[in-house]
Amino acid sequence: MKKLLFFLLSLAAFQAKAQVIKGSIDLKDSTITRSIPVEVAAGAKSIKFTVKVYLALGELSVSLTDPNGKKASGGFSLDTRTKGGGNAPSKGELSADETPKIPGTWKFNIKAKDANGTFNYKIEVVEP
Amino acid sequence: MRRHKLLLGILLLITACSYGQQAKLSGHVILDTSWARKFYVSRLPGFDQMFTASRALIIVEGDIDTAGNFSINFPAGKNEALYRLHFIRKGDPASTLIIGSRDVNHVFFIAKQADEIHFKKQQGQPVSQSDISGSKANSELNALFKLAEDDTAGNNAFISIADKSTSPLAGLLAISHAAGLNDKQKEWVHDILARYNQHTAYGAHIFQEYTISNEWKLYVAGGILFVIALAIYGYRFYKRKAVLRIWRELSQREMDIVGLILSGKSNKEVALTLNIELSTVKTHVNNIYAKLGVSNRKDLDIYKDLIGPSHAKRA
Repeated sequence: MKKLLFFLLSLAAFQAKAQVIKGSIDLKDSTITRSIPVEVAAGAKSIKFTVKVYLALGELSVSLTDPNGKKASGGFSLDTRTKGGGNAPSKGELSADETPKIPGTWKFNIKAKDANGTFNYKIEVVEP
Repeated sequence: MRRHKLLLGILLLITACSYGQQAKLSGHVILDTSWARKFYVSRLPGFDQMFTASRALIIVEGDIDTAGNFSINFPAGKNEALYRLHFIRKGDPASTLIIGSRDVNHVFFIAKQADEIHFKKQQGQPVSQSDISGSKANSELNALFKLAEDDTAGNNAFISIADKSTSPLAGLLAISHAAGLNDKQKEWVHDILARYNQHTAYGAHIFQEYTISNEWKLYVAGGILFVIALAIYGYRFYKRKAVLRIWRELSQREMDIVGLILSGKSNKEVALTLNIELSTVKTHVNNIYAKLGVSNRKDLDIYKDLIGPSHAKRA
């Protein structure tokens, strides 16, 4: 019983220290503009975000903005258009570890236009 | 025979010209078996496209030989341009960008016509930290990327890199890393930008920001000049009005005498002209001085300028 209580308390303590947001989006001729809010407490150690995108068609961009709306490092864009007017798939992988200097609501932004493909993301806020 | 020689000459000329519009990239890379033995070079038209993966940006591609060596000529202009060399893992599309992990698959470099760029990646070394040599611009670019990795680097550090940079492109990229500049830093950036060709597509927003940030200064300077001009005009207007008020206090005879004095006549000549005694002229002159608040003839010249020639003529 004591062990279970210790396990549950440890789990609660761990959860208090890390906020994880995970998700995946199937892109099917998708045109979306989505911002995922990430609450960052004062003194948070880092925001880690991992993104994997395979884009068969269309355009897509990923960025992270601080509470003031300023773009943080990391982020990328994919575009499948070729010079000849055709399409060629693009792929983007991002593993960023940002030290948040400003507490507040950070935003993980996804913008897609006529996109077909798969999008996977994981955001982890390591709090003090 | 003559025609053949001419054709050969044209062909050689075209070859020479096209060679002149190229740069060369050669390199050595050690990659594990999960990577394809291919390399790609993209020309990046702006800093915004540095992290854009698109087949349309790739200008040349080639194979890496079994020893890990590769070499290719690629189109390059007279001015510096920003390029990205990248590798892909087996099965990935050509336009794949891997950012942030140890598997980072790209490195940036600067090149212009006739440059010979050399890339070298040691085993276990991330691609982004490989050696790019062949021009001073690339050592400056490497120094900039090292600085950008340092979270504590402030605006002064980036502007300082731009200041010392011999490559306008590396300099502009350094400036683009700086944000929220104070007035002193803006002045510093202004001095640096003055050395660059403003027609470069790179950093167009930097030049624009600089112009906008200076436009308000022009407006303020214009405003100050306008206020000064208005104050001078107002001062002259009221002074002229005051002088006219005093002028009207003179009698017709006194006005005539002032007119003659202003036309350069002596008291004696005034007396002769008006057919009056010299002592009378002197009395009038003393009264005029008292009324106008002057002490000699020279001071009357100021009134000549302010009142204008019509009064002198009238006199």
